[in-house]
Amino acid sequence: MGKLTKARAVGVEMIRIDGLVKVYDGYRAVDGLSMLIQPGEIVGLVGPNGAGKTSTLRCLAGIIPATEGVIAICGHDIVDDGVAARQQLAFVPDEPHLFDYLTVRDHMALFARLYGVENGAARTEQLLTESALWDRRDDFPGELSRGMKQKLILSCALLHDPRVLILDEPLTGLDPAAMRRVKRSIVATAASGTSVLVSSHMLQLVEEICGRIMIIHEGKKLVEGTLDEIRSAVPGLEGDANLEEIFLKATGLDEGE
Amino acid sequence: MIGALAFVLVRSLRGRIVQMARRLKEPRYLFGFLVGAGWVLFWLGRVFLRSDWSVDFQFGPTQEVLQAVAGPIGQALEVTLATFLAICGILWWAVPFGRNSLEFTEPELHLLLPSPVSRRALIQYGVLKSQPGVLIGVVITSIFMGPGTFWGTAATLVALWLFFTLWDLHAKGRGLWYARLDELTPGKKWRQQIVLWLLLLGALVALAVLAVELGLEVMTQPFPDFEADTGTALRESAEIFAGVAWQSPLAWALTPIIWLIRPFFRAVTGDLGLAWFVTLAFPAVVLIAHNEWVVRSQSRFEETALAQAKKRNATAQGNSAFWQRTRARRKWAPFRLAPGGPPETAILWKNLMLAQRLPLKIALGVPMAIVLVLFAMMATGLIAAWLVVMLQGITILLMMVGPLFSARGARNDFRSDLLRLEIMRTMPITGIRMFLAEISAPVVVAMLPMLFGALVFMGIDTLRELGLAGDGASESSVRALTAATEAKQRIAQYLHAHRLALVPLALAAYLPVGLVVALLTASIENVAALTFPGWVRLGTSKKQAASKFGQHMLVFIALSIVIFAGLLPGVLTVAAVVGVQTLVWGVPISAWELPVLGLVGALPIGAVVVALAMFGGHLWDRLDPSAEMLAGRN
Repeated sequence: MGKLTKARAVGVEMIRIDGLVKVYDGYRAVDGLSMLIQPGEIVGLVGPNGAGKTSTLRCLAGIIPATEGVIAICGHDIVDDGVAARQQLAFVPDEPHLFDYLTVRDHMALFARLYGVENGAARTEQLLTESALWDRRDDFPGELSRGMKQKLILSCALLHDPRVLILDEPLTGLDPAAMRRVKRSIVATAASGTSVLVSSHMLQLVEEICGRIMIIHEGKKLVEGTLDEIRSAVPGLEGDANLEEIFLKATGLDEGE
Repeated sequence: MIGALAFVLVRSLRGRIVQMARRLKEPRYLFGFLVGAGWVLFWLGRVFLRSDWSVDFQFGPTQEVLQAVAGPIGQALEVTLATFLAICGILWWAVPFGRNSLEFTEPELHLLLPSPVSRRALIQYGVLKSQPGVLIGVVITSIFMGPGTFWGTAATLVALWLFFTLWDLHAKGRGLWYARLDELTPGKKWRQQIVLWLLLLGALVALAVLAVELGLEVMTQPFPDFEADTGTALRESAEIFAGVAWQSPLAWALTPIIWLIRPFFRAVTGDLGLAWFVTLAFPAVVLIAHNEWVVRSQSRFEETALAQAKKRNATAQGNSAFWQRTRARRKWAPFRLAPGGPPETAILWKNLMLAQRLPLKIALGVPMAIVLVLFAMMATGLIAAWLVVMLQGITILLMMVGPLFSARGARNDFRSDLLRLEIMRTMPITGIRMFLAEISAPVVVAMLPMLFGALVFMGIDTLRELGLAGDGASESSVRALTAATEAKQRIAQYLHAHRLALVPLALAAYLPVGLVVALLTASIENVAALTFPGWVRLGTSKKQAASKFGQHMLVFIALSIVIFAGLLPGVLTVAAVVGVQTLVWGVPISAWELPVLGLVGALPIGAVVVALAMFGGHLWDRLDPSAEMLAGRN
């Protein structure tokens, strides 16, 4: 596992999902989803509860296998070339199950070694300082708040400078200051060429940081594009409709109002 | 309201059964279920096959053994078991571990605590919750330990149910008592705690005095000559011990405990007349009294239970001690993890931290320093010969137990890491390398005591050969040492080697075998965890309660058989080599061959380990934890 290079070839898909299907015990959680994400893009994945967002992200990260379809990270198939694919990506789950017997610093040391980060100590100090965890570096996860755990797992994810960053509800449990820091961090990461896929119910976040948005419902893609594109793609919306209105209209969840 | 709680209990049980049945849709779970069911049916069949109409086909204890247990030896066993239980009970009350009283899940607490349920009913619900586990455990245990006949097994089942339920209630009562203690002011709490400790100490001292008295009484008895007929002498010795033990003050002092275990002994020996039913009366009364003690507890168990449920939910393993460690010890690690190098080392480092943060050099250095002091004391005659022999016995035990059991008990591998799939599955390591990295930590845990035992054994042996150990001993101890040396001399002559070379050569033969045995046990445990992640209990804490005794026993025996099967190629290869050399070529075995024979035995077992690692790696690469993640296990 040598040092990672960040050769960003413009036009090369960092994430490619083709006809993804995930079936749980007969239930199609994801139904024929396809998407391409270019370097430096931040794509928001939104949908109501049970829409298949987490399943999509878990398949993408190689945590669970897809029932059908192809997933490639930086050109590496997640099944056939899993190690190369995982070397390029980082996944931040919505519920961080950290190693409760490792301190904050231990977690960073572990990830530095796993991904062969040569300047691990300096990068650890930088990331922990940025996330206000440096003073808590000898604490165990059991002593951290939920937001701190979220920041720790995000720091671990950013440690090896991934080319693909997958975030599942990254702002859950964070205070307003931490939310701002994480948002800045995501934008800065994307600016350096990393592709970011964010799933969140916080539509303001998605609207604010994502260049492209995909709304999914019952495992299927309803609409995809920039905010303007999806606004015009969903009929019956006013010209200044925000993402929340677009989302409710597209998914039909506004019908009860 | 108790009706509503019973409804919750029954529906929860039904839900678990339905969840289990759904898993059977997956072929691997169905296969595992069929093998497991066959395994249980085999033992169930044994009960019926032991009936009178098939006396020719028997498993388990022979009639001679059962008759012996029914006689004075059985009485001695009752006294011994009662003493053991009394000591365990005293220590259990004294130590601050495992004080979980009533285990509720977080949803149960959130739903039941605010509902209009009486306190008594809620506690009774908590008590009854463990009954399905107790009943399953009792059925399994009685099938294994029963006499084999139908009525004997049924009676064993009743006796064991009484005993295990009592054990479960006692554990809950103890937990509630300690929870109540925590509610008192510090002064009151410490007064009560000290009174308890004094009572326990008094009981322990009384037991020790009575046991020593019994030992002295036994020593005065005329024991038979073992050299004439060892078998008869052993039986006669046991009868002499039994005769003395049964009449001893120790037996009188332990009468209540003996009465609690008597139904089991009577059931096992087939003594099922009216007297057996009478023996049930005392345990039944104690059980009812225990239940009242528990349900009438005034302890505020709700807070403790909620805190425990939250912790269980958050960590899925009872590792609260991790965040109670001092600041200095948080910086400890088994070894320094350099930033560069193979990623597997990081997995090993992490998993060793789960077992112990103590640096390896301290973990090895401190015991070695103690051993050196011991050696110096032996050389200067400060340690008696019997202690030297005992120490060597302990080291042999360490060498045997380490590879076979440490890897099984450590659980610092996939059995803990499967709880963190979202991190583990994104690590950039191939399946086989991940599997090998995961099994390496339990193997290190197993090998350390083995290597330590080997070094100590060799050290003591060298000191004894130099005539530096065992000085100043009593005549009997010197006799024992001399006998051991003579036996070693005979073995050395038989194996055509000098006595001094025998132990190093034997250890050189055993070490590779020990290593592959540890690798084999760790591999089997991890393959099982990866094949059936929905069934294997994940996390470091293995529930050691009355309600899990039977299941643990069943799994333990099954895994032991699998391990034995894994060892078989090595055993057969060595047997074949020795057979060809001695029987075909007529060349006697020499001690100088032992290291080679060790390798010859280790290689086939190593091949089994490689096959298991490849299979385990494939399982990890192709693992589909979708169902487990949906069920909230990760």
